[in-house]
Amino acid sequence: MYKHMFKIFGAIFLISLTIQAQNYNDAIRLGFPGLGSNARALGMGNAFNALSDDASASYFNPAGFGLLKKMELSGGLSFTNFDNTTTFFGKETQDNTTNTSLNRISFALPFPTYQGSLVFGLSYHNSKDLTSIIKFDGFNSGTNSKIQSLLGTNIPYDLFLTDENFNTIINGNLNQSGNILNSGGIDNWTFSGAIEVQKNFFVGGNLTVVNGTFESNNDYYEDDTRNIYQGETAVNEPQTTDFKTFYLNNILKWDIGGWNAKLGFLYQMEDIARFGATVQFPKTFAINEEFIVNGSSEFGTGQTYSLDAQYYSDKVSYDITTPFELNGAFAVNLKGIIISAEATYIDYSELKFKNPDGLTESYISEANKEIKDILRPVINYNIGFEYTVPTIGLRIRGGYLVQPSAFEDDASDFNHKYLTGGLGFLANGTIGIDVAYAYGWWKDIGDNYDSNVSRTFQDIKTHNVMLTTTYRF
Amino acid sequence: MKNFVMLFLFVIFMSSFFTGCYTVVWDPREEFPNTENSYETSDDFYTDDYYGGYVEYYESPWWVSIPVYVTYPGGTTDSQTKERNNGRDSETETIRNSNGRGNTDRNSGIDNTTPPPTTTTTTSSGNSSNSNIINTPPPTRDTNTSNTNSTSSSTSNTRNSGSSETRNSSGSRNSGSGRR
Repeated sequence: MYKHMFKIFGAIFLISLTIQAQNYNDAIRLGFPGLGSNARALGMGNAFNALSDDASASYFNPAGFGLLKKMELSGGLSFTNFDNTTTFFGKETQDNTTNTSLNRISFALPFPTYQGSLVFGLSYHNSKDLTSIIKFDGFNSGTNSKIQSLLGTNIPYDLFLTDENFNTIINGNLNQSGNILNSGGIDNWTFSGAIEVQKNFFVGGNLTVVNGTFESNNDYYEDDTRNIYQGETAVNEPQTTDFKTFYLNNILKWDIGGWNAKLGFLYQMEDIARFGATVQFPKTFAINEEFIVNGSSEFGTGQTYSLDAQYYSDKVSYDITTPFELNGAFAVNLKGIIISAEATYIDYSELKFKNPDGLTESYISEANKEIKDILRPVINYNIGFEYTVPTIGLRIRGGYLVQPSAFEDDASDFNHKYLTGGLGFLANGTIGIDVAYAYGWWKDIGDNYDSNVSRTFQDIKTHNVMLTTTYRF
Repeated sequence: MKNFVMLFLFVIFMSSFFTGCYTVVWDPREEFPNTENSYETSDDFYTDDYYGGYVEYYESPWWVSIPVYVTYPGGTTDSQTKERNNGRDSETETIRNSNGRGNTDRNSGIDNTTPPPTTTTTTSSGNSSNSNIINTPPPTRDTNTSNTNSTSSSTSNTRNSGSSETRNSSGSRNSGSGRR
């Protein structure tokens, strides 16, 4: 009796330690930049920090608001197609997902001045689309499995995959398959202001309240496709003979709040060039997390067992803070052709978990130490051009941007690269319509459990289309 | 948070109080700066040479009226000026008129006593090189005018995050080693 109770308490203790899974992936998800919400900017590879002469300045460079001389109402839509081709134990699987969303509504109000400018802006914009997908299917001939990796928990025991002593006959050689569908986005409500402090020199700032959601739905299967495990997985439980399938479903739900602030500077050198610089102060994201676990096992006898989802699901909350982002940019106007470029410094090793509720301080501390060990500082690059055909108001754009991987040892193949293009049209001096397309590509890897024993090698391609309309009056 | 708020307020608002701040905001007790002479602008990044009439989209303040130079064909060399609406709607005018000034003030440059019988005038904006065609009579804004001809103008200008299974997708959410 006492021995049995000791085992139960021991298992609960183990779960309490291992049920906490916040790690660097969660931090990168929020710290890695998105593509913004301005079609003109995206068409120019988001090299827009030094231009920023529309209401998207709230995202790029708030000092750019000072360049607005008319009131502006603008908004737009974005479409994302995320395509992931995964190689898993030599087998290739492809899947894709799409998302269409309203990505911005902005208003800018320049105050009448005798000289200089004073402009305020209000904006809702989506700064990052968290849509992604992965699907994998392959036979792992190694002597490892997720079932074995979970022996520190009650899950294999509850599914009759172990004996009373938490030992299992499962020793790898299973077909592993699954898919993960991620959805959600980070929305921002921003109040901005800018002033021309010296002729042609603008200073601006903004305060942003963050509101967003994220959901990750993860299905995972291990199947004994080669009929290796014919015996009982739970001793003296004959209904557990002939193991067939282990299934686990995790649903991670985030309710994202938070705030951040940005300071921007912009200098305009006559009609020749503009220079911009911004300081993005660390963003604080407050995460309310719900983690739901379902699972089951199936046997050749027809027996199935399911997990008690309530027992394994939990809710926690914590903060994630991102590092400073320092940006420098310039744009030159060469006889009507604007060429712009910028660089942004981000030290991902400064990502941090803070203020845990439902998680232990020591766990958070360990997660932060891991971030320091495996993430690195990077410099993002953007370059773009725009040519306006003055006779018809048509604007042609192109651009390229690189967002290096946050991981210390990743090769350049893992950098997010985007080739962009766009068209714009100005009508009657009051209405602007812009459309942009961005093609992104990079590689990534992921582990189903442990490290490099059940790894997916991903070849990712994205297609983004953005539409922005602007009305100035 | 408090520090950032203070910084924000410092940069945006307090800077205008320092001696030497370039920007001078309109004081409602003073004359509204609705003419080009009453407003000093920063340099234009988009110039007529390469952006034509579309310069107005970026460089023309909403509160400043752009003068329209009206010339009369048929022998007269007189050149007259009127204020062009510059695309503002009625709501904008309400703001501009909040200082007690009516439309007649804005039309002060218009010679509306003797509208000529000609049918075409040429206009050009101050900042742009576009030409607009205005059918006669140009000075229709004066409500006292007896001219009843209609006026129209055309302004042609114008993991991975996707690899999140590295979160170690086990139901136990054990931290695992994940992506390395």
